[in-house]
Amino acid sequence: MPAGSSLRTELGARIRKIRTDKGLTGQELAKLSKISATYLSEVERGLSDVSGEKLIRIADALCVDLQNLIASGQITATNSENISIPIALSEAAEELHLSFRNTVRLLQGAQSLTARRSSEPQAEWSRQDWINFYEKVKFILEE
Amino acid sequence: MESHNSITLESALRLDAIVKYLGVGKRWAGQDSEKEVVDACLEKVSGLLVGLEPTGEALALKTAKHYQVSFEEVRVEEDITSLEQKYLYGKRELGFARLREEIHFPNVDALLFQRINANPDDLDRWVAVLNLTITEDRVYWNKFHELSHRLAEPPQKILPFRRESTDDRDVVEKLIDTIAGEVAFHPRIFSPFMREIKNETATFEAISAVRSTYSPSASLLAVTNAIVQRMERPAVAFIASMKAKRNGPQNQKDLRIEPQCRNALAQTNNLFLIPNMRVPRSSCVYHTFLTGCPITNIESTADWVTSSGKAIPLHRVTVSTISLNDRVYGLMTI
Repeated sequence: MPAGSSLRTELGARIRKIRTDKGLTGQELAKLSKISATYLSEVERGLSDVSGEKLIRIADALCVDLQNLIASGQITATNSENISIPIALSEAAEELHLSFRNTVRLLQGAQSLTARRSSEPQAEWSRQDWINFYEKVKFILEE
Repeated sequence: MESHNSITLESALRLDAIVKYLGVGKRWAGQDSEKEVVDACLEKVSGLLVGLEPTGEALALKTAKHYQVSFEEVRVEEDITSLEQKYLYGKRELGFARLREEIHFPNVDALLFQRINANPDDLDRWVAVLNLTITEDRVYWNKFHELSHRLAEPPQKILPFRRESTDDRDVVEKLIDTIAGEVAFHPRIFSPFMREIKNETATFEAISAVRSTYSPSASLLAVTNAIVQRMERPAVAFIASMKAKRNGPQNQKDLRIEPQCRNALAQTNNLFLIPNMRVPRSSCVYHTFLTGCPITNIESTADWVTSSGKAIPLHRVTVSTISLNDRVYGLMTI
């Protein structure tokens, strides 16, 4: 099972719990978050990955801090940082038979590039991009 | 006042985080917050000015050291190899495996790495890689832009969102640019240079003199814009180059204006130039373009009209010009 699946389930359950605690219906939260009710339902059931932008919208609509929202839906890495695994990385990790620890290290390595100043946007990484990145750094991961 | 309705939620959250981090409020409140944020950043840097050589370069160095930002410059392929050796192979920073690809990506000016293996007191906890393979024009500006992110934004404890400054309209990036413009020419060390400019006609000779003393690595445009913003008379900076009329035949080119900077006094006095308007043949701007000679001349704006006959308000102005490559840099003051 991809590492991200259980994370999605945990995150979805967390969103649902906060929503119901606040007495919001799925329709109401979807409207506040500017996403479709169907999509929200899938997110809550852990069936769909959620982008950072949409997660921010959901957190804002629930009036909760983003970190609090994702806190129990994320992996605790060795250095106690909270990490959310993108679905493309989950797929790459499964294909490469990466350990959970190395999957997290791969993600942290990629995300250590925190900013790029460019006049052209870069597409979100695909499964193949993650595999290519792994090939470049596996000498460190395998130490 | 800018409202959150006109910006993305992510930008709104980042603006809120900035005002909270700097202790100037709980939520972003438009122009009022902008001034407070800029002042707070200037104040943070003020503590570093004691005993500092009054130059922009010295300020950049000291600020970078204090905020643990190390600048690396890439001019040729060997520089990338060298950085890979240093950070990827030496310090085991996985992110630098992306460096070569990122530098080769079109139009990447700068990259900021937050090192994952750094010790809390390492001077290179953040590594800003400046791409100088195409031009070195923006090196000074990019340094202060990256430093301004460090001054204004809380460090990322987790790294889920990457900022990509690809959109010029992004409000956070605009705010960071505003901070950079102020910090790079910090009033406590830049004011003496402005006093010199104030006592004489603002010419590119005077601006170049300030540049060579205060910040030789800054582009002429960056220094010109900084001076224009701080001048105590209405001033507009512009660049003129051969361009076609918008929506017109691309083979019919004229010397046309690209406004760069306009100070508050120019706004008050209704001094402005219209983007892409043609430079009149009577102006010294045109003569500088033809001859390459820098000129300072007193002119009337009466001849400055667009091809559709739209005129700019009538003023008697001092125009100073200098030729650089195929372009003319101009300064118009009342």
